[in-house]
Amino acid sequence: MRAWVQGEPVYEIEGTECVPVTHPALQSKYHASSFADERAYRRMLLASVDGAAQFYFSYGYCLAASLGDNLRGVPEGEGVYDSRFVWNDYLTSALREQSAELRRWTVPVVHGSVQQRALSCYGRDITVTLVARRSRLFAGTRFLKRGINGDGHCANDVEIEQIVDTGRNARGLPDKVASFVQLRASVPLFWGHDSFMPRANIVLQSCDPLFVATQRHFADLRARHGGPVTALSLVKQRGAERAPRECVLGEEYERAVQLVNRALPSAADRVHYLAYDFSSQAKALGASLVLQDLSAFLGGGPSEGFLLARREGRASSAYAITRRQSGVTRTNCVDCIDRSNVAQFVKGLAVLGPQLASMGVVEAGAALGLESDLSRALMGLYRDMGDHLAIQYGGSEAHAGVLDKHSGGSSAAVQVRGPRWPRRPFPHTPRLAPHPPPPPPPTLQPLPPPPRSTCRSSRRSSGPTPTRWWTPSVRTP
Amino acid sequence: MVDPERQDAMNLLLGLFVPVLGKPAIWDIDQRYLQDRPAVDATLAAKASYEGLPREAGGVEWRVSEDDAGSEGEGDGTLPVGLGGMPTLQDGLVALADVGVDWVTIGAGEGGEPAGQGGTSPPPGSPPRSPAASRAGSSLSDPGGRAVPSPLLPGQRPPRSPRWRPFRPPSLDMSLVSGDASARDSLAESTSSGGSLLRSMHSRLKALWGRLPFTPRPSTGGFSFATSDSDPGGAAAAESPALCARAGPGASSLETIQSLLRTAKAAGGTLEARRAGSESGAAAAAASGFWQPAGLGDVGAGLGDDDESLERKYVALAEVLMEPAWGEGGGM
Repeated sequence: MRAWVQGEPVYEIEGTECVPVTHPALQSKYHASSFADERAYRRMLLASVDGAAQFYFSYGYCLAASLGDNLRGVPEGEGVYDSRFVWNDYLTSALREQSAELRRWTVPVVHGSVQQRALSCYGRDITVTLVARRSRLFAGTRFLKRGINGDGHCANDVEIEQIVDTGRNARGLPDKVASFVQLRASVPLFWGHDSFMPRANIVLQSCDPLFVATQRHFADLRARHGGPVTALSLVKQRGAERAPRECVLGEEYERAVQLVNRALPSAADRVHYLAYDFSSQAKALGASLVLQDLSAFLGGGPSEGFLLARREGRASSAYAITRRQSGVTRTNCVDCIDRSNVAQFVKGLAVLGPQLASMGVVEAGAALGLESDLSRALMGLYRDMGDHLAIQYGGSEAHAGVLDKHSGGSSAAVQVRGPRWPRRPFPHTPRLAPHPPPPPPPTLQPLPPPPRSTCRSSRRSSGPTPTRWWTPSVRTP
Repeated sequence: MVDPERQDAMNLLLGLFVPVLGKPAIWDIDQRYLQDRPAVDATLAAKASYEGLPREAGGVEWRVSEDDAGSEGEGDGTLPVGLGGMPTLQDGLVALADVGVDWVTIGAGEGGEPAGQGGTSPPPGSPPRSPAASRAGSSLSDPGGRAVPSPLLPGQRPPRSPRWRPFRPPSLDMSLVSGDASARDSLAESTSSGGSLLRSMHSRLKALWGRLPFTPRPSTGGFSFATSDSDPGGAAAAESPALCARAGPGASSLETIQSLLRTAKAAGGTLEARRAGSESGAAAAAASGFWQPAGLGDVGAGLGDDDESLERKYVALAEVLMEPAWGEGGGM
């Protein structure tokens, strides 16, 4: 069990097991040695969900939805599995399609990270929870999934929710709870690398000159989170690199956002593009000052607010939402691992003060310094979450020296702490697949064409056009 | 390398790859194919439109023209983008079969190799009778009792530079194509080079009739348009009217031939009846047993064409579908 959210326990998958439900007489038939491929597949499947990868579920709280959606009431039943954050949609689909009875045996599973820490702030008990949900729509590892796809889904797309609550009763239901949602995702362009070496050149593909996929991405963000949408890019800017590498990506991104904004009817709805060269600033200012600098920089951007809910009455379990979040900040760097994590911590810290103030824990207007204990605790949460997300996407832990220096204390303490999680879950796993096919060299076989439904062209006259990408009915937050 | 294995596991978990017995396993497949298909398709589609390729060839949009589409009352002319964004020969031929072309001889293209290079050469003067042909022979041979040449033209050359082999389903009934083992192997080899990528769309055929991008070639002798510069199959094909695909060498796939054979077999029962009641030139050509516009009511009736122009249109359609230049710009 990893956490309690709204009085419901949140569990993490520690291990997986394959339990055959076939009759024992049939098992020998289906487990025959001729099904070597099936064994390999099964092993691969189980290894992908085993204890080293962070999968979470809860029976009472819908982890795939934000707190606000949970309080409003998430879609019951099948609708949960349509969420982009539920990873066992396909695995359970055969079971769920059978009957509603069988659906009771499934539980939606979310991939990402759940971190929770109970803190005491001026004598008040508060609980800070971080829920990171990874989208399954363009999921993959770092060098294999980059950028965006034609539907506007980005690689490494993670929704991070920072939930703060206070005054939990005996059932674990808090009196007041606040949540703040932000995103990280790869740069929403078609791009990749020209090799698999570290620091490979970045290759921008010019296949989407009108940035249709980028428009879809931002339209989706608006529909899900409302406005304003802020795009925070942390890649290096021109001049910071000896040979232009990352800056090309950042400049193209800015062009894309400009083009996306040009189609909008009013400037108030535009996507705010913020560029902050984190690497150069960190080098120039040092690890401690760069956080303050970034905090000040983000303070100049648009504010999304946050969600605040109060429990109605002492015995009640119903909540009244008094404040809502509108808009979202979407952070990216090249890998969306290290720098993004720091920036999201800064953003989360900037919201934590108002969150606590609105719940009456601290005085209004009290700023949380970077050196405060609360800040360090939050830093630890973001660091652990960042490590999880980095392992999932990149295969190694995040090496955000900035957060370590601030939260870990002396370097000796960091060493004593030891590995929290298996460092590299996958490198030690033996080769999952049987060895390559025997002597006749594998012929290159074109695959059967994909199903027709997925091969729609990117431009349809019925869908949004490059000049009308926004949806008129933006969800009211 | 661990990332590809993790990606494999993830694709398996999310159902992006579903293992099927007899199909390539996930560890035999290039990772990049399992990348998100819409991304690849959008990439290719956008590329086709951006880089000046004909949009029809790229499969992005097939819009005949604004007024024409409006008058026909059809929706948007979006073509589904096939594998790699390019149409395949099979698609074209299947569409051809849909409109009533029952029998197509796939021949080698230009150059007219002398028969006998592929090892399937029949003895001169005795056209080969494959089991498929003899099975359907009762209806597919003309009244004179002249044997119909095998759908495999004997002069098929082995591919010049085989770059890929077509995916062959395990249950392929090769005996339908040819009973001879050596001929079977030779066919498999000669049809393995893939080749031109063509695509047509049945629902668009009506719009296609009137706006062919070239002047239909006047046909000679029924429906054949075995041209003078291409003499596929040598003497056997030249003297019997055959619809020869002007595709590149070996520009056919096994499934194409198979599906065409199936169509021919299915249509075999109706051929006799149609021949009995026919008087026109089109029916005479049908009586020669090679192909027959069975879908006259489907496509032609609405247009109110007489037989001659209809015939020309069929030939033109076949040419459009067989035109190798459409697909080869895209390359594989």
